Amino acid sequence: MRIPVTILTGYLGAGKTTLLNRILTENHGRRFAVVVNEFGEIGVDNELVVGADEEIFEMNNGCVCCTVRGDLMRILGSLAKRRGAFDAILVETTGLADPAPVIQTFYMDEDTFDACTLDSVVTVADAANIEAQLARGHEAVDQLVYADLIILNKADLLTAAELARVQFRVNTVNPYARLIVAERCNVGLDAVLERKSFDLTRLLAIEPELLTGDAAHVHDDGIADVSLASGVPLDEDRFKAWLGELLRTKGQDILRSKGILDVAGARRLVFQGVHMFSEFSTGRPWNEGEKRASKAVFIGRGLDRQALTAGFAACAKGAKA
Amino acid sequence: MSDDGQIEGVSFWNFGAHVNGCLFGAEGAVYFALADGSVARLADPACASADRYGLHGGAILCQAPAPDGGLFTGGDDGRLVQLAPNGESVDLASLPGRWIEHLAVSPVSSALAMASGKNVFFFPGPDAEGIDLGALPSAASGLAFSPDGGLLAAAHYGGATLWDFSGESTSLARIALRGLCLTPVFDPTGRYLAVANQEKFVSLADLAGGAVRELTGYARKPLSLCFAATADTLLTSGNSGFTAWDLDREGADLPLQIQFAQQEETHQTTVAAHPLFPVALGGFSEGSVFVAELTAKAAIYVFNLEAHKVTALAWSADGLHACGGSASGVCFTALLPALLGA
Repeated sequence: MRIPVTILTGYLGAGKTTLLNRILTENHGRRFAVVVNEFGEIGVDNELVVGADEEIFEMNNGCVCCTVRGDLMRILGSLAKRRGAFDAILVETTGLADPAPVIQTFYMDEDTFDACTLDSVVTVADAANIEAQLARGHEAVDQLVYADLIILNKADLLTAAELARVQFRVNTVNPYARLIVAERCNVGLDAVLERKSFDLTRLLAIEPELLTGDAAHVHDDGIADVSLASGVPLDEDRFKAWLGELLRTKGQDILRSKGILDVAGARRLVFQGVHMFSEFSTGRPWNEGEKRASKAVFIGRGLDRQALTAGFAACAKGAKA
Repeated sequence: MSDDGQIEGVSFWNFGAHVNGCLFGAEGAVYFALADGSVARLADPACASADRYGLHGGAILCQAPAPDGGLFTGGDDGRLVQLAPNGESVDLASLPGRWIEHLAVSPVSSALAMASGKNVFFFPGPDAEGIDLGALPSAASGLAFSPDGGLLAAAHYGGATLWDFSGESTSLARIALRGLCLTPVFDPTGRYLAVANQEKFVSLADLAGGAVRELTGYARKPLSLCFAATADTLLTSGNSGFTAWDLDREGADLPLQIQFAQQEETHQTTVAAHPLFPVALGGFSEGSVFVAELTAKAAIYVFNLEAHKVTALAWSADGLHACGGSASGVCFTALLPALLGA
């Protein structure tokens, strides 16, 4: 049984520690091991609170985006030896951390993959400051892009109109994440924990937005999301080859990718990716008479929608190579 | 094997916690260092009961035999502890809030080294104050002393750092290696330093000539490394069977990799070379233990640790006994003839 791990990220002062302390003190019947960067900020006496010195290592393949957290590999590996002493692990990142190396650690390190499963990436955003933080640099943008749950915290500091504007802004950066508005991180912990967001077999169930069809949104922070759809079954080998080449050559700019594909089989083919890494799995079966379709989403910088659309279309069965 | 499933000369134990490591003490006792913070001690390999010592508040992360018997343990409670053969324990160092992740003892003296994060500490003897050797470029991922005790190697991202204690003052050298380096091991002659790599290869540094070779051909990270007693073979985990590198190939640029006794749907997690003979034990991810005859490059199945990943294997210094443990706490001690004749 792999240990579920929740990544808790967010800009400086967004309220990560508040949420962490809530998780550790509320009576929910679960026991957590916690990996933190600011050791002294946790107001809970817990022998399983571990301080981490963020160590980001590049892999040997020469790609600057293929990075992992060396400290996490060591810490999660050691915590896994104490399985049974806790039910799940929470990893709090620093306020300026790029979540990609954290996520990639779960897929690029086989021992971490064997011992742990990435449950979800939860991003806490300060509603009063997130617009300015998004304008300031890529850190806040990346933290939103990689999230599957965004807690828009400190909403009580805004008027209803201001809050609506901020919600819209956050939604444009990542339209695929669930967004919860909160004050002092007063969210139900059931919404935060055990989300299984990175379980490919649940991809359809948790992201119905994927089925909304072709779309592309470019935001003023340079992040774009391109959504592709096809009603024609895809050639599995051709799609895998196309995606592999795409991520190999453009993976540095493609922050996230995911999709649910009809490859004319009994079941859906599902995939997800972070930068150059991608994984495929078999999803739910197609029901008899169900309308089949393929959907894929790419979020990144400088995405060429035309090229993506053409490449995706060329993966259709019977399409000219 | 008898009718009731017992193997003569082999004893099985279940200590109920992940076995981080096992070793034979200088006094002949067998020690299992466990992730619940305790050590299980068998006064001798054939004894009927085990003593249990709770040494750490968290998990034991590293262990090494003490020169006069007993062992040293480092834990995620930041403590370095010595357990004496009489069961008494003493704290040798404390780093609150940090983890002590790696230990190494000199084969020829009472010197000890420990690593916590980027810092490596050298203890000339158990009673001596630890000397901070300074910060590595990144966290240490393994420590090893050379056979003559003159060199201490620490593996880390980007290479290995070597401290030379043989002169009047300690000197430092760094071997640049690609990527995240893991377990470092010296060969019995001290000529080679083998360093496992995160990305499925082993770097073999010739300390005499300066050349570094990358030994590739792994399905997984080769985390467990050891040299055969004859020093001409490097054994590593990381494939579906035993992986042996023949280092004694005159005129050849690269050692020859020979894989043997491959198994289906499992991989070798741990390998331990016999201290005297061309024999090795291999432990696998699904709990099986094999004994290999290195000259013939053949191995036979011995037993299975209740389907739990083998995490530790060790031989006694005289080579008459072996011990091992698993991720669930199932352990064994065995006589060499029992292993070879099973």
